[in-house]
Amino acid sequence: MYKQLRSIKVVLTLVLLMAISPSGFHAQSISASPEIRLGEAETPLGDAESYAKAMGVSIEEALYRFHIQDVGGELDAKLSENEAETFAGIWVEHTPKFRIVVQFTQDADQKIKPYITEELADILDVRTASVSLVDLQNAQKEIIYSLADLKIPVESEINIYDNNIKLFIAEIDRGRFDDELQSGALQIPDYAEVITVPELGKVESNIYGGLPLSECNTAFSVQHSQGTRGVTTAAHCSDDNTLLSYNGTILPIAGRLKIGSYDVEWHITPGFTVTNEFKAGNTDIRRATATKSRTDQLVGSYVCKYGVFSEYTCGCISSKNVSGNVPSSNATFIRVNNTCGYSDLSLPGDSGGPWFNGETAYGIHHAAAPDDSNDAIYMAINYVDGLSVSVVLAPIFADVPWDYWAWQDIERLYNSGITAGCSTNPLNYCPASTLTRAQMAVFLLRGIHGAAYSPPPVGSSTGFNDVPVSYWAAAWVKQFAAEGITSGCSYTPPLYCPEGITTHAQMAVFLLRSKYGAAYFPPPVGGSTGFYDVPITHWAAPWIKQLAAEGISSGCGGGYFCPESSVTRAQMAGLFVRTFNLP
Amino acid sequence: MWKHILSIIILLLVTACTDQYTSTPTSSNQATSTPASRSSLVAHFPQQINTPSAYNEALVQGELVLINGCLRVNSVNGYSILLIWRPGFSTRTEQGTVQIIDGTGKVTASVGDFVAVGGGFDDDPTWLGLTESLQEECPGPYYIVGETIKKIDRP
Repeated sequence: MYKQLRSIKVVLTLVLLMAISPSGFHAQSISASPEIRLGEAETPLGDAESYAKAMGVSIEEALYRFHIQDVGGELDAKLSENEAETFAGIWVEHTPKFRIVVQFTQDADQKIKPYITEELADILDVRTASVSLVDLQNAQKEIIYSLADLKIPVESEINIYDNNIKLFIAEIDRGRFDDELQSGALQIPDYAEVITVPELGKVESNIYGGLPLSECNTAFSVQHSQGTRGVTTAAHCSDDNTLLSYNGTILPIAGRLKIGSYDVEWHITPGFTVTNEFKAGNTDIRRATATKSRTDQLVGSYVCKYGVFSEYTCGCISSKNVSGNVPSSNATFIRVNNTCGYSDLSLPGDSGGPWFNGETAYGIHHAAAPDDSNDAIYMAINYVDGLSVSVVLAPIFADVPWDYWAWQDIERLYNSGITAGCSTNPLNYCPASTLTRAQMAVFLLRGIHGAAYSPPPVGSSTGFNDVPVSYWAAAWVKQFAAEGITSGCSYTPPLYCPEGITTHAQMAVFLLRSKYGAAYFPPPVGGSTGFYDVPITHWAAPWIKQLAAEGISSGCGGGYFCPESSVTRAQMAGLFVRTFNLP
Repeated sequence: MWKHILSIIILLLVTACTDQYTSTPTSSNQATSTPASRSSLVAHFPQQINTPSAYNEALVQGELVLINGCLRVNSVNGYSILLIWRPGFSTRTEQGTVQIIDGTGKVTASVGDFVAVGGGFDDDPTWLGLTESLQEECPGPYYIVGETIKKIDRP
């Protein structure tokens, strides 16, 4: 009987799914049932196909198993609530046999009896375990608190298969963990397994477009003309009395425009790294590489959007002269109709989200149309310039991706005109290359005099035997010496060593002289430099100490400065930004 | 026969005694300048005079409450937000509960319900043209109700 019912259910599901699958999609039939959206409907069938292929079963069987998964989930909730004392977990196994496994600490067969339904009867595997789920959870909590008190970072999970707690401790902390265990300051039950890992997982700290805000979505990442980065959303997503937040973190507002052609605000994002990514689908993260202004957007064009509620849907631009819901509207908003394959282009909660095509930013979600709430209206992306911001596009340098540790400093250097990189096609910065003394002369003179600075013509000599007047940086080297910041690497013969490395100790001197002038000398070093590897007798000790005192360098880590190691171009970027306070 | 007549009379009496407004369905696309009928418990019901040119799609979720005679949402994000209604909405009291009626005459939510409200914030919504001025006892933040307000499950 159940099998028959099951078959009917499966057939009905298949018919429904096929009816709303892309090949059988009709806008009219979908719009008649607003609860069904294409994006949702595509997934189950696709997933069932993929499951069937992976497990070597039919799609019908796959859909049946998905159904049983749901039933198992409901049983999990019931057992957690009603049998907390003895319930020790439930899971589904796909191979070698599809079944639901459920565990109790005692009287397993008796405990499960009231919950056995016809559809579960043949596939339930009931087992006995030592520790209840609740006891595992309580122990896990206690361990986490104890380790927090001891300031030992930990990640943990309850593993119901093994009926234990797994504790992940970073290699660097394992010694301290063992010490605390031995001293008795830390106690863990024997059902906790300690696993040493190279490092703990990193918390996702990037922010970008298409992410959920408290009432709306982010659209695209932007950068202010002065260099600060943040994210945009629609101006009607907050007001002077409300604050927007992302993942519980308040994003302070940096500017808002809600008038004429504008419905946009932007927020700074303390603690987050702003990237040029934007969410185009639940698992589709893209990088914005271009923007299309309103004047370049063609009526009839196919454009897509992402919103937390209606998710990824697309439509065709039907008008570029729509009145927005803003005071003194200039009728420059863009309407997208739902006749290009998706029924629902706008739902409450979608405001502020990104409109795009491929990796090109088109606009920021503004509203649903009043005469057809399935149609959407957006503000063209070029209007973000009203806030003196521009969309953050691809990383500037091909060899300095967003996750490179010094990318912000390097891009600041580029945006300030201090560097154009080390190659043009592709545009590279060569961050790991050692900074030569010639390059340093160029960097520092630009820092002193501004990005547009050019040194005087080199004339007939640079003053250094190893720097011919034909050398690419001849004029810079000569001027660098003329300003008294360096006298070269040798007096007799006079040499500059233009291709030589710059050490961190030398850099301390160069940076401070560049900042304060050639006559500058730092305060006496006193009893300590603050670095293990820089004795007070080191020739650059007062310079190094002063550099640290000004927050320009904190050394190479662990209390060391590494005075004799060479400076890379990436390190130079950070030192430069901090010395000259680049925005 | 008498039973039927008696039933009709009782029904008429009950109807007359309730504070019920029988709304005339108004198309949401149609502008209206007629102030909406409202429950006697709702002292202020600021409403746009004209149908908006677009419905903003921010989303506020929280409990619909009546404070100082004003309909507000105590949002899950910790704000008490004053709702500004679009044409077509009205209110009525049914068994002591204030109900929100949309332009089609349907009850969309009641005071005490947990609701999801589409729309958008505005520091000064007077530019929209309102049926009544904003009252001191009903301060902002102001939120212009957009496409929908509907009852949802409490989180």
